[in-house]
Amino acid sequence: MRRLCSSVGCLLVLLFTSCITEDVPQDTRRGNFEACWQQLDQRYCFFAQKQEQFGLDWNEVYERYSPSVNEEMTDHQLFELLGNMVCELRDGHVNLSAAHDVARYGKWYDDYPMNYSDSLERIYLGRAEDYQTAAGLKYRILDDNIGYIRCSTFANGFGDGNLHVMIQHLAPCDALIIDVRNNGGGMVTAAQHLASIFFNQTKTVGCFSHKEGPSHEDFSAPIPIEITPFIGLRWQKPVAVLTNRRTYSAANAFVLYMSEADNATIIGDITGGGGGLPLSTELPNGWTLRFSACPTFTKEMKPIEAGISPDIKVDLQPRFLERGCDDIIEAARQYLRP
Amino acid sequence: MILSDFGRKLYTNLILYSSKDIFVKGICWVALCVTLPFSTQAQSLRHLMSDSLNPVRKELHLAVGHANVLDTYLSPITHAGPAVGVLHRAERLARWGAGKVSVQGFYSGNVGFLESVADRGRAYSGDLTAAVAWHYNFHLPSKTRLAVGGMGEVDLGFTYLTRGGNNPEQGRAGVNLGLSLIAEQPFHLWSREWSASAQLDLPLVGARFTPNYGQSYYEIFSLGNYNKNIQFTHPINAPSARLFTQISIPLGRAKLSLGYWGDIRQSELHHLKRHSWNHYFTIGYVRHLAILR
Repeated sequence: MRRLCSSVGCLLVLLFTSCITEDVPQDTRRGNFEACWQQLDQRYCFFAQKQEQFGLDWNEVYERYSPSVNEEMTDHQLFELLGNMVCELRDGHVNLSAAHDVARYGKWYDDYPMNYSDSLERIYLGRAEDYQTAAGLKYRILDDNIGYIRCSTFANGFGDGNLHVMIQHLAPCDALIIDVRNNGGGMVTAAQHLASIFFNQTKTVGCFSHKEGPSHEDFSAPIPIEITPFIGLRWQKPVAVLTNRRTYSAANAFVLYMSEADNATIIGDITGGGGGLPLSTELPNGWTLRFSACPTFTKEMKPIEAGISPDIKVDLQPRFLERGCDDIIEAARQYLRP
Repeated sequence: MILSDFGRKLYTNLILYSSKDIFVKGICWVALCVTLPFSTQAQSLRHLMSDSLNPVRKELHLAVGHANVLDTYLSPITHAGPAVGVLHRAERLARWGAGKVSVQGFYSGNVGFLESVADRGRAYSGDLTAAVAWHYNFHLPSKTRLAVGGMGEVDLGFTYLTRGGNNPEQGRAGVNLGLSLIAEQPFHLWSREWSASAQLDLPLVGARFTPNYGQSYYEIFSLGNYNKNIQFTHPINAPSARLFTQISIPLGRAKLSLGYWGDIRQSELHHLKRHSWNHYFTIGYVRHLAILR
């Protein structure tokens, strides 16, 4: 009995001296700065790529911004400082969100031509009664018997029935255009689902990894991303995927998947990238920090964070609105015509 | 019996149709093991003589208290707030052990309505626990009961952050084997028999699901990449305990119970820290039944 009591006593001592807590900096200006830098330092996944791409040194960023922090700063001043610091990563998935604003890096699209116009989209899709829509996908048959699908987001999943009905409607077409320009992403599962229509057998289309620890080099072994063919529905004719710089995140992943499909051609501008699946965390003052956590690669292990180049590079030409002509759609139609 | 049938069906359905999912298999095995003693006892009761007597104690408690939750997969910030729960205990003598071994079922559920300290960012947390324990009873002088035994438990839970973006929720699932202790002392007050009791459960070894440090649920469940997602737990990496104390006040044929329920769950796996400190005031009733066969 005495032995039992001592064992239990030891366990209780162990328990009550083993509170698991996290050492979070205090909710001060300095504390929030430290927490923001530290969270990214431990959990952001593209330090190696950014260092190679433009020489990013995250410790140097700390040294550069740290002297500017003082306790007299207003909330807006601190937000601006931290916003500028997170933008040093040049990553559209890294955002700092407060009640009054979202700090985000926008040069990945602002420094490039838009190559997309919703006025032109209206010309090609026509009035509401001219096109059909299923699960957010707008589609119609163009006058040269080429099917056109406008996919503006992957934020919502596509039902099997939606895709069946849409492809059955477009089945008589000679070819298909899937327009993912200005598609900012959403669910990668939705992107995989749509891409599965264009594969006849299970195929590795890329690789995926994640961090296993707080060090910059702590990554898991990459695992393959495989597309399994859609059950009972396979598109066998040519397909063109239209891209621009605002084709981002899950839409960027969709382009990666389609680049491995047998009959697919990528036409337009280089995609915006966003090859890291984002996760979120919080700062001591409650601001939300989003960051790229899990990198996606091509099957040859090339990162897609900086974008995917098209097979055929096409830009919108000057005065496209006056001409009422979307040069990227027209290039795709010309390429696809039998 | 019913529980065991449920366990068997759960095992058959989930294991046969999810044969690749080792973790689901594990959960089902443990669920089956947890429910099995009740089945065995219920079936064996049929073989008892008709005049035999098997005392059973059943308790149901409602709990109101406070929860303090940290999960660094979601946020390094601690969230805390009011919590409510329900707890059910049933205990009876085992068929074996010459009247000195008792078997106990312990089932609890709780949900916390949490806020971050800084700016009232909302979060929710909940847990379900099912445990079974076998105790060897020492009957000491002055009717003091001291019981020592082993327990097995299954727990499922979640934490949901309303501002979590791509990773708003963390799921939890685990199994534990551990030590269970009960001390009980009846006493007389105003010519009625009251009793005070305390039960301490200490998980010693177990297995727990956890995503890896930066791993997303998309990778685990959509791509099917399991990267050490089941971790072995012990008091060093998961120091946890459950304490339940109560005073039973006689009230007619039953007893009113007032008590304290403390549930301390902690782990540090894959550099991810988690704690869920729950403290409740409980009110419930205790019934002693004698089953005649």
